[in-house]
Amino acid sequence: MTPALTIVGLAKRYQNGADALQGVDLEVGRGEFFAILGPNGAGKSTLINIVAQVVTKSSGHVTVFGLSIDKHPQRTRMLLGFTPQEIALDPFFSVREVLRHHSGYYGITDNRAWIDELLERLDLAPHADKNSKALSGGMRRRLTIAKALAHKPRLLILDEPTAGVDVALRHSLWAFVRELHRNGTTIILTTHYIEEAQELAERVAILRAGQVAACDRTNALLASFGYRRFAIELRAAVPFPAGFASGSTEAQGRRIVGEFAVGRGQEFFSWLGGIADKVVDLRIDQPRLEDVFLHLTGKQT
Amino acid sequence: MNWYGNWALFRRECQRFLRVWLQTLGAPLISAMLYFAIFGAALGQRIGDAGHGFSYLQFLVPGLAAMGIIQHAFQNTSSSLIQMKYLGMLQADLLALPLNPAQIVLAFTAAAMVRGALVGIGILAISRLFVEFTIADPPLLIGSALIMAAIFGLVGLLTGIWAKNFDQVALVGNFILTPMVYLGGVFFANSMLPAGWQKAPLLNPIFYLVDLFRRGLLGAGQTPPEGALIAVSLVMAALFIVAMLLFRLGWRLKS
Repeated sequence: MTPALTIVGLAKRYQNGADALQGVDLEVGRGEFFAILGPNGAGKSTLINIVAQVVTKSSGHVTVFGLSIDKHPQRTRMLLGFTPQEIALDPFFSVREVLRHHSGYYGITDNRAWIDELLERLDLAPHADKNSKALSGGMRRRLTIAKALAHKPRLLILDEPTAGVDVALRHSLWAFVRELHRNGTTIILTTHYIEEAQELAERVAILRAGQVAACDRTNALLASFGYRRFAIELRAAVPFPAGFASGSTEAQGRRIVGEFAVGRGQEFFSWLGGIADKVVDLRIDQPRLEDVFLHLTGKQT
Repeated sequence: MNWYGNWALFRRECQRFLRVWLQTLGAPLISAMLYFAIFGAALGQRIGDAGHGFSYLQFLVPGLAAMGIIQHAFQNTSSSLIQMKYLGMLQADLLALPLNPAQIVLAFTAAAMVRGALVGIGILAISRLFVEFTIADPPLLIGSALIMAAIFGLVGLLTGIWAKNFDQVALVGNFILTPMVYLGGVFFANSMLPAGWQKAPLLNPIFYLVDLFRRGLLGAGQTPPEGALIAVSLVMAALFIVAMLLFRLGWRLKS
């Protein structure tokens, strides 16, 4: 079966000379829940915008369900739903009208039942007849997601969908997206909330400076991650151990936090044994996707 | 081919101007009435005959209608596109849509033609309250009105694609379009000009459109219609193709 999205050798140089993407290869299978992470300026939005055909590529190939975006621009656009990072809504129309127009662009003549369901599921039903100008930031965000879903796309691409959405609504939003995923929709998302990606995504790509720094199953990335965070509370001050760990001391040396390389665990534990009489409390945490992210993007402390 | 999508974009573009009808349809009717008040009550009698046995006010009617069609067809597309740029709507509400460049240009142009036609009909209807006239050649009147609206809808579209902000659109409107319209035979016949200047309007493309439209209404014009009709049709086709190519390239639309 052809994948939902195949990207080969994708590069993008903007007119100002900035290289946003430098040879990206990615494949997202049908029905996958895939997250793209990366620091600001890593090329996440550029990547997504090229797939949605709102930014031109400099070189490389993109196929959506086996169809090249160059050879089949209309058919591939039809297959995907896309929310850009910047929210922009037509100020002339109400929420329901915006969705009716958007359904029409995709050739759907009567979409009332699905529009009602979208309004319900995205908590927009009470605001259906309000002008889009009168909506709060979170509502506007949800309306852009409803627009992307108006034609029931097989591939849903969400660029920072939860920015500005409060916690309770974020949960209902993710519940809805999970349900779409269960029903067979392929989901690709970028997010700043890395814990969201860890919780939701089956597979993750981490971009760094326009290249794929890592791409693997979320579990595999965590399992192969070679560092563990630790926090030690002490009865008396102890200097920070040199060599095998990085981090800092707090509370006049009575608290040590940092991380150690798993490969040098022996040194860590023998050092720990040496100060055991002073230890009040010890925590070693499971690795988080955020730690993997910070290491790969060179931002760990 | 996604023709319903094409229809949906056309419908949005029409609803956009209908939502603010007072400004998009009401305003041109008010200004047409003001022109009639000024020329009809105050100046018209002194100008006298406009040639072919028509009074100056009769001559003015198709001029004002043509001016309304040109300006409002231009405004519909240029303001729509620049507003989409300004609000950041281009990506999700235009470029990502499953419509090909020809369909996008067609939808925008057709909506501009609808607005131009409504303004033209409104001005002719209001004029009839002030001036006596019958329509001499309905097919020519309708045909030239639609070509005129299409051409300036396309000019507006190209302006919207090119412009980076509202100021640049206003620049084209105020410094190119309005002078060309005012000097394009809306208010005067070439025979009214001083001897050395009578040929000058022939260099202005708008002159031929206004003259065709006037011939459709009054049955008399200043230039032979056949050549002009072919020329303006070719201009319309050329502008359509240029707009289509710019959408295909994404010039000033896609980074």
